[in-house]
Amino acid sequence: MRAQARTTYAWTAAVLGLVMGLALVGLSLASVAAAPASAVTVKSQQGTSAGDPNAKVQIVLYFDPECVHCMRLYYDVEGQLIKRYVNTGQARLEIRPLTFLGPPSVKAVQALLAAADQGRYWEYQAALWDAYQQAGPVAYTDASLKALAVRVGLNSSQFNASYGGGATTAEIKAIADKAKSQGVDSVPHMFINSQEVVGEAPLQDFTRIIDAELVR
Amino acid sequence: MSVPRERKKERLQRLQAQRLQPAVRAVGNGLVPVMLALAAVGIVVSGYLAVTYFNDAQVACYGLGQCEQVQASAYARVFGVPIAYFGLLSYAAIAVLLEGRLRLSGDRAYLALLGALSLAVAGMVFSAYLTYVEFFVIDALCPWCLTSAVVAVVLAAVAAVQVRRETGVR
Repeated sequence: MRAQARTTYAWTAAVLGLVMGLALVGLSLASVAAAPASAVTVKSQQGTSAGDPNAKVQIVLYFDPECVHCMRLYYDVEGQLIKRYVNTGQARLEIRPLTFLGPPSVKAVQALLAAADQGRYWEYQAALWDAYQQAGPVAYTDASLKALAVRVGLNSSQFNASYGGGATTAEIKAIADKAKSQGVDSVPHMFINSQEVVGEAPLQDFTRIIDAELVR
Repeated sequence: MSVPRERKKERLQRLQAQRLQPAVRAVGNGLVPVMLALAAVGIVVSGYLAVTYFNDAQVACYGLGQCEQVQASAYARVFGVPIAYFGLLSYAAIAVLLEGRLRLSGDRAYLALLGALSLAVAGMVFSAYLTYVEFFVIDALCPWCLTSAVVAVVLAAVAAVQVRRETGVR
């Protein structure tokens, strides 16, 4: 190969690399734009619970809004469980948010409970996880959590009154006490009737237990 | 039959041009071992991040940044595939191509080097974008990611120098 041909090939390789790099950047941006498709329609919400209170399977999930594993459990498992079991009346899901991981968790849980007061817990939770996925715990500031409430369509003055108020603070303590009494010392932590699933697990691990409980 | 004077002149010019066409100089391994070492560092760094992601383990940040935050960000995956996997694959492919550059000879060796250059440039562009995202979008830094970005930039620069040397003329 002559030097002139080599020069041509070298430039071609460099330009090809540049195009590949830019294509990856484009894919990443498209992926980020497509990512927050988390909202799931939840029927019969009552506070932080959803589903028939007399359902055969009672599911309790402890999580912390700053916990990455909890976030993945939300995206990969929670929505599917709601669609398959909660919305169909076979199970009831109760969410108990904890504040293990520090001040941003406290703010996020206060916001979640304030949203729950308006019967819109899951809508707010979807927006909260999407914000966390985009920005991490810096998404949990007073201003951004209040802005999320506006975006979700909550009543702002009612939200601001509940957020950080005495009632939500007492509720946070009550949930922490329940966790302690049930021996929960890590998140995510799920109880399916009397069975425990500690940590993040694939969807089928949860469906297997729930299906077994349903036929008992 | 005599060749017209004008055509003789053209032929002479063509032959002179061919003689002036530079030939490729034979070169040694040059900076290829340096590139291999950089690719090895890249494999270790992206391999660590890929393994922690696969095992759902926490990234050791040693108090030097906000690794969990970066790991949780939407930018850490492309349509569900962790970018650490892309990095590992890319550095491994560069190492294989550089090994080819060392073992092969002539044009094949040169083409293997160009393959490594292509991947290194792609890695540099993507790393620059990710570093921008860390600083200005998610406002969190991960020392592992920054190390990989530095490796990608240096690797692309060294690859360019080596390609320039091997494209050189006698």
